[in-house]
Amino acid sequence: MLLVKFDNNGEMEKMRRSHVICSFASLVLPLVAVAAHALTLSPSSLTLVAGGSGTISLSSVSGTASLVGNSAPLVASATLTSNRITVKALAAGTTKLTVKNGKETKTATVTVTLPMTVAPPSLLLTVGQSATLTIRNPTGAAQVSNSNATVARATLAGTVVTVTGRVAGSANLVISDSKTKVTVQVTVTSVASSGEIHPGRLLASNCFQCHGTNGSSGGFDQLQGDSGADLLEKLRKFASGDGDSIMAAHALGYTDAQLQLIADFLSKQ
Amino acid sequence: MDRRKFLGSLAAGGLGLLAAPGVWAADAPVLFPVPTNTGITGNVVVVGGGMSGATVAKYLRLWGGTGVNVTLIEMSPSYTSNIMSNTVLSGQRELSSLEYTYATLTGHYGVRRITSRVTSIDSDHTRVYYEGGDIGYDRLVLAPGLEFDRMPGMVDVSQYDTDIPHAWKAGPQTALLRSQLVALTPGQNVVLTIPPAPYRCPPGPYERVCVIADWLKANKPGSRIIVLDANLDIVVEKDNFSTAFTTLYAGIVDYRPGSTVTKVDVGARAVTYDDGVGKSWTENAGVINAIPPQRAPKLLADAGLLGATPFAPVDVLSYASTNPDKSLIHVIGDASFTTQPKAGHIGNQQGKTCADAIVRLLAGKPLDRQVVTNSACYTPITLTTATWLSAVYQYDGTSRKMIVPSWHIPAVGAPAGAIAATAATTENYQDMLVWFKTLMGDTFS
Repeated sequence: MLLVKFDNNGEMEKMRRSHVICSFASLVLPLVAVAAHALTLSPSSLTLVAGGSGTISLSSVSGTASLVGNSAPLVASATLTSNRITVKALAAGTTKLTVKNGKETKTATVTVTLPMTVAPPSLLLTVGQSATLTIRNPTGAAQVSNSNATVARATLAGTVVTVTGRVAGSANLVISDSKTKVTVQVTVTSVASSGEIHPGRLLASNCFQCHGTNGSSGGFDQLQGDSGADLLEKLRKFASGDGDSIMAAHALGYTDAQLQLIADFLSKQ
Repeated sequence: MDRRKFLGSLAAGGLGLLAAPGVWAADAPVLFPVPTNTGITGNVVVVGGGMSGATVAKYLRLWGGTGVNVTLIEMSPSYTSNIMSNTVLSGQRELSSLEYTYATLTGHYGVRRITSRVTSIDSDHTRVYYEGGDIGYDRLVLAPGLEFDRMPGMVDVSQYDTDIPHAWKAGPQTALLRSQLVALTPGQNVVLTIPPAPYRCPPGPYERVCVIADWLKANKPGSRIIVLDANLDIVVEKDNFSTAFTTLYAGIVDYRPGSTVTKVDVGARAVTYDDGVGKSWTENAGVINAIPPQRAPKLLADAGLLGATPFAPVDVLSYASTNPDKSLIHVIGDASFTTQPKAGHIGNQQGKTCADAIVRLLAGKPLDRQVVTNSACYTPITLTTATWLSAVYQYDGTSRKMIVPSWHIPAVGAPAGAIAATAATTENYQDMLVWFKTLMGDTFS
């Protein structure tokens, strides 16, 4: 990975021109010439979340400036074009970027923090049931907005969101800090009664071709009656990419909320 | 979900490729009771007892309960599976091992059977006419499979039964094609033609080329299989098939994309085609396997169910016809016009989607809008190795179509689409046998 561009030809060209200009300036307008050489990086410190990107602008550049140093290239990558440094945040940490323009050298500090995350990625509740979402690494105070307060109630205390199912349906909770937005789908089902169709039935029936009707097997692993938490954990593992596997290719096609419904349906057969 | 463990125990049991019927008896499908307390009532007639028709009949009873009367009209006493039928051509399987009866559907699930051919549909009076009677319906499900066009130069489609079997519907034609391959004089060629997509089972023709090529390699020295593909390139799983064609079967498979067949001379056993750049060529063959262009059966055209294409447009939440006058008629499987492939595994899922929708409609409940279907299949590449392919379709409320979601990608940065095995392996071949057994169990038991 090329993280720092060092342009030898550009450097030589700049030195040559800088020499000519300085010689001229020292004879005629020494003060103005010094001011023109006050290279600035703006901002001189930048905070980004991993996966994000930002820019640092160079001003008062004489000729061509070069990015000559990146102290921790695994933290952030940086490229300089047209007096603008594009910074891509890769992993948590701090790196110092060094820019050289003629005889001047300036440094900018890039701090990369982990993005805010919310776990679990979706929730499945029955009416009256409560569960919590845990917020990690918020930048400042996190906030919660709820697309359907009739379906679920959500209350935030510090970094914990308590969600309670009210009526059957679905709601999206958007949890945001100053840098990141995370959407958690909440599905609320009524307490099973006769005549009620489980909302995961049709989704889970995609499993039956290989795992038997209702997950009863007859070939590959039996799923019927397994613990919902275990099933969900395995499905999430497959969906996150479990190598060269037909289950990984299959599980990848569902949303996390759908995987929850599938696991819940199979656990109740 | 550790299938490796399960498959390991199979291998320890010493099961070979040609597992005898009955060997799996310990894993017989579990039969779930038909519920008596759903409170749902209605009369549903299902026409066609293939993969999607048998599935919809079973699940209408399983999910609808004893109050939903289901009548399955099918002219054959049993179904012969297209899946795995290429291994009959290589002599690895008997045709009879692919036969599935309706005994469990009728005996356990209480599906009523009429063995007859449907002649017409009167949608105004919600009645179906068949040879020997007629029957009314609240909801009609058509799962009739496909009809095969005559190839240019042919006199009649009956020539497929007697001279040049397409064997794209497993049955007597499969046996005929097998006997023709056995009788092939070494050094004579097989000519296989592929119609323009869409056709039944996208990887199927290429799978057949591989299976026949592997068999020719061992049994007919000097014989080649010339593939005249009307499509400009391999339609699916291009990496796996082109690798097989150019390495495993170099000198045996002669793949010619963009070839339009202009004449099949049944008597002289010759195929003439246009090569796409204005030149016409004729190939003589010991065996011709022309896979014909396909369409929904005439019954559907007569019933006013077809649109601009030779298939029936449907609402993929329920598979009801999009013709507003025919909304009590549902079309599933290969005869329907959707964005999904025409194949048995996904046909089964269309049957479940349709059954779920009809049960909800009969109960006055809203349709499930979170519909997902999966097209999965295993494909033999040699007589002992196989690959797999999987595509997941989600209902898109905006386009009202089933689409592969943006996040279902084969590789980082690749567009959404089907995901294939990275290589043909013997392990995939063993998985294929398990998949086939469970799929047929979910469909017919």
